[in-house]
Amino acid sequence: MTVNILAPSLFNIPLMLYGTEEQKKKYFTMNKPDQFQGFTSALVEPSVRFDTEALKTTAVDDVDDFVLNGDKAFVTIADSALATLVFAKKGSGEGLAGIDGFILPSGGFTVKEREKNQGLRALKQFSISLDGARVPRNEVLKLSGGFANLLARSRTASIALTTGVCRAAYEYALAYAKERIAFGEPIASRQSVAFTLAEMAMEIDAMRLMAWKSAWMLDKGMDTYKEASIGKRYAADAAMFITRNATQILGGHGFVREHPVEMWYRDARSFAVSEFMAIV
Amino acid sequence: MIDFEFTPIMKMAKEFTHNYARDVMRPIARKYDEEEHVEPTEFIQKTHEMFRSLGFSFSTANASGDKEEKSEHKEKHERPKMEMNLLGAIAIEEIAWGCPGLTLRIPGPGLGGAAIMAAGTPEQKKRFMKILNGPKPSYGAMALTEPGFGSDASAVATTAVKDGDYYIINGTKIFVTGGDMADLYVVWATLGKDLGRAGIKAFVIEKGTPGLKMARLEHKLGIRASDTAEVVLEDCRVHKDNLLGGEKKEEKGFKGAMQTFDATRPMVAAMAIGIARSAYDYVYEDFVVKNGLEINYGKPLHKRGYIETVLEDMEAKISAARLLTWKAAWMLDHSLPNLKEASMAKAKAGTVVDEITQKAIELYGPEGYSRRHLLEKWMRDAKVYDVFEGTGQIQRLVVARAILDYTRKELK
Ligand SMILES: Cc1cc2nc3c(=O)[nH]c(=O)nc-3n(C[C@H](O)[C@H](O)[C@H](O)COP(=O)(O)OP(=O)(O)OC[C@H]3O[C@@H](n4cnc5c(N)ncnc54)[C@H](O)[C@@H]3O)c2cc1C
Repeated sequence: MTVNILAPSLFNIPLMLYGTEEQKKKYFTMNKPDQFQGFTSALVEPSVRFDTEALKTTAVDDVDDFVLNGDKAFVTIADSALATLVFAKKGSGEGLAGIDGFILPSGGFTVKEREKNQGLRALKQFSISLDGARVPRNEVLKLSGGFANLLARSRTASIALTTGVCRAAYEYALAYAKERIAFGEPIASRQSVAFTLAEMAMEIDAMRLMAWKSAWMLDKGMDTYKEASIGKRYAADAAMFITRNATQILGGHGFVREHPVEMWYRDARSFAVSEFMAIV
Repeated sequence: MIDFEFTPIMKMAKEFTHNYARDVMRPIARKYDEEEHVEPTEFIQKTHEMFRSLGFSFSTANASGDKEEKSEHKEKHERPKMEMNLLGAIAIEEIAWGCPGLTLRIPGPGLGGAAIMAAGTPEQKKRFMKILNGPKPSYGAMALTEPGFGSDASAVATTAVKDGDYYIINGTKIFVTGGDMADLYVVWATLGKDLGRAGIKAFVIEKGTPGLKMARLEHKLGIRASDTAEVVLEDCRVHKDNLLGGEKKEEKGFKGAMQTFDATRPMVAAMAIGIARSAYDYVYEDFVVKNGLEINYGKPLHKRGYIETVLEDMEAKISAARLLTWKAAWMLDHSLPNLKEASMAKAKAGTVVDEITQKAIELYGPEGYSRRHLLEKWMRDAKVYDVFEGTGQIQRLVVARAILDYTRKELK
């Protein structure tokens, strides 16, 4: 749900940071403050070996336009977005530095099947095919090497999202552990349960601080790529520990849908593998 | 000593069950995961006939065989003719590799049968196993857990009140595996709270007995092809001949329940290993077989890549869990007390399977998280293996008490 709602940020923040005055004017006036406007971006590609630094989607210069080819996957609200920012490699640029953004209007590409994921089931994501879509020059978002900065921003957001899910799971398990009686006492009075909760609390504090530090560095205009990348990985790992143990603390009740912890366990697995789900 | 060479029967069973898992179970695994509560009727029938034609009842209840036959072999220091638990562990790993949810759907004595074998009188074993091994697919369920407890089995609140030749049972049981399709339910109830553990008894209740009602089915994280039911007992009258172990042996009841676990925990562990292996095989096939990644066993870490070490790590973990499981099963085959070993196997397998299935998704990136692959399903299926048949915490408690030689009071 949160990720659906945050989809426009994937479009608007890059535009705010790197857009031309003309682009900002065009798209920000389409944004209506009092209603949800579908804007999104497309980065991830459908491959087991997907690597942000080696995008397969290409943008080839052709007279007045760029011609986009390739497939993207897990594109949030691709079916309803007014505009989608597609990341692709222009020419022979290497690594992150060669990536630019290309703005496509709705209908500018083929929307394929809705993605079915393990968790995040409320999230509307789709595979799309670019099929030689043409993007006029004035709809190119020139990042001039700024893609690493965008990734740092999205990874910072990812740490914060992860912290939220972990906190939900932890708080639920904590309350349950104090209520649930086994062998005559609350299960929280057993050290194996209590220490697990303590470990969860430490990890949550650590990851939250990582999110805050990255955000603080971004605010200062510092290069945050390393900090955010480390934090994202760390938080994603810790999220598995936390959400898994939250279900474990509920015992069999953690395995059934009556309690939300099994959902958080499914949702948590997304954080290590997703890229660009939200951005700050 | 344990012998690591497979007997011809073990080899055959492994190959046969593996092929069955690959050709029959894998192709329908996703379907019955997505369509929770839809009965895999064709699969049940087919599997039932297949095992019958082999003269092999596929179940955790193979677990407790004939004690006399076993001790005879023990004295002679020979390998028993059939190490049924070891054979079971080998076969069930393959079957669970196909799909753990469907594995739990396979008809046979089930957990209920295991309890009957562990705690029943010879007459009861004969009478009930005849039903469970009959020509029609049938299933024996175990109804121990209640809303108020799971780990603490001594907290049974379901009551059994004597009334002539009958007992009248009242209470609510939850999380009954196969509770929707069982022919027999082994229901645990107390004759009176003041009697403590000695008052806890198991009753075999047949399907259709008035007062026994399946109340609802759970929606679950994983093993969705297997249904988990709430079963309600309202003035359910059960004949005293169905009290497991008979009326006289006062102690048998609770101990019987616990003995069931010595036999079933290694089987549950074997299932978990089967799931871990499916995830491992899946990524191994891709990275190593298809894409030529080399695993340089034994080389120093600075000479190796990440995935290489992850795969090696997975393999080692599977091996550790499997060996613990085989040992626990083997001890049972040789009539050796295996309480500690059964818990070790279950504890290890229960965590290893989560670690491996989680990691396999990560190696596959966003694709791994997608339902286009079974990886995400295996991670969901895996989670319950550290919960049912005693949680990981409870297994560690059992192991710790055993190695420390502490009582229940000394180590809580
Ligand atoms: C899919 C599924 C199928 C099942 N099938 C069956 C079945 O067929 N028949 C049946 O009878 N039951 C079945 N169960 C129930 C299962 O065995 C119980 O859920 C399990 O034993 C845990 O009990 P609980 O859920 O009440 O957890 P609780 O006992 O409430 O435990 C909650 C948490 O506290 C921890 N804890 C409890 N006591 C201690 C302690 N002393 N020290 C440290 N930690 C402790 C536990 O490890 C757990 O993490 C099934 C459950 C599931 C999910």
